[in-house]
Amino acid sequence: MEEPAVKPLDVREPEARDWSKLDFDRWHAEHHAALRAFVATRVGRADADDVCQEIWAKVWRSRTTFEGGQLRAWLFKVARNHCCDYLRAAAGRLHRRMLSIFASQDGDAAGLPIVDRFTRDEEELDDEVLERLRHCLSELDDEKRALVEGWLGGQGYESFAPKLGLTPEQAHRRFHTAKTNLRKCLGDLL
Amino acid sequence: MSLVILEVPDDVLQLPAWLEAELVGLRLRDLMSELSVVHRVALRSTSSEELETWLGTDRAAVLDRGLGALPAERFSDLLKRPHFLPALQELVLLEGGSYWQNLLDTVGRAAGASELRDDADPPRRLGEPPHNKPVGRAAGPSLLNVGRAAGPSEPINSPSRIVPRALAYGVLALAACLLVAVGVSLYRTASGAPTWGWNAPDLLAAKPGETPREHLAALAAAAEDWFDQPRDTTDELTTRIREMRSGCDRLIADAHPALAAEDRQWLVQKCRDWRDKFDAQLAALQRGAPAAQVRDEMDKAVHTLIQKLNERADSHAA
Repeated sequence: MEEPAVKPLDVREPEARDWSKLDFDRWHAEHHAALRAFVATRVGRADADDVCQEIWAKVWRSRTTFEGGQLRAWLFKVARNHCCDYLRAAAGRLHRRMLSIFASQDGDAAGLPIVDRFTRDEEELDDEVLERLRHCLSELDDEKRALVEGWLGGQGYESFAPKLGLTPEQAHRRFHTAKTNLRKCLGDLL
Repeated sequence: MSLVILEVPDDVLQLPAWLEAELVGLRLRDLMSELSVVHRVALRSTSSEELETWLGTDRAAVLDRGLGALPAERFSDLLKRPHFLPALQELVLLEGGSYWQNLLDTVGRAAGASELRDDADPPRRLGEPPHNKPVGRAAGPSLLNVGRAAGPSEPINSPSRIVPRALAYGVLALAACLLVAVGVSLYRTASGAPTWGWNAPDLLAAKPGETPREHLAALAAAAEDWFDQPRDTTDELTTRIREMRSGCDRLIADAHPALAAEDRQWLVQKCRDWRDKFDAQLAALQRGAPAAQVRDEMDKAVHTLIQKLNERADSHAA
């Protein structure tokens, strides 16, 4: 298959504002990966591709409203609003919580309170995983819990092992035991 | 289903690159949720101003050179603030330089191929109903309406022409991945020797000054490779157990110059015991035992042998 040459499109050029001349495929090739990552963070991986398609269609329909400037920023603005609409329409509680986070962050007051923490009685799989993770972490003894927190806090063993009275070597070994315990506890969710 | 946090690399020096890939990938939402649980912090909205304040003078360097430009303690602080990650993602996607764009291209292509493998469904044309999903799903706007709005008289470069090309790219990416996988598999078959765990080429190489404690700890650490190997199907498990067994043979045959005679004797005897256990699990597989059951037994056995090696290592003074 012939792969099209992807030449970055400078939409600040006056002629680029004439959407009838835009190479939409090229534009898609240039920005789709960024849009997909942006959208997946807001609506989740499972729905990201569907929502991206809807956004591209919306972008095409509203192309005449683009007034120049950075094209990706405009695309993200369209995407941001669309994701908020999508989350608002979605039934899941996790989506509602994400909306409360992103609607505020994105300057779109949704009339919902900011949710400070996940509740414990969730039905969705995402919540089940997080709840199980919370449970499995609580099953670790204090030392193993501290090792996991240190590791996921981006600290080398040399940095946090002495605080636990361990050598880095011991910390490394015990951390792997903690990781194994976590995997076993998480069991069929993995 | 998997937890993103369980894939965090051991080596602290690899952490910035790992987080960068997550920032431009599709799992950032999972990661921030998981980190919020681990660090017991609330997920809350973060304004771009708050992030800018936190980044301070490091902002330009991060946009130019990535997260490796952050001092170690600042990077550590970032991991403990998972609510910053969406704002950081938006910043690097919008304002990141060629460093981030190159990363985005690489990760985006890999994610596209992976998603295609996972989903099996081909991408849809705009206006087509979702595969295997009810057309009138409750969540989200109707795709049928989107398709109708786009209309049949779209110009040649309309979005509806994008999807077949995306499918073609996806198929190409998938084919490339399969070729790589087949190539690796053929290479491994051709070379005939696994290279993980106790079969790692450098594991038993002479290391002047190596203490018994270091040597035994290295063997324990190498055995941990077991948990990183694919071992879900009967075939995979059979191969992995055989590789583990061949590792035992290697340990039994080696002189282990770092060890005193007593330690070496202990190690050889233990290796024979472990090899017998592995043989028993191989036999169970051949009798038709479920792979999941055998895998659990093997996991337990490997976990125990790691503990034994570590205990023996700890019995020697540091």
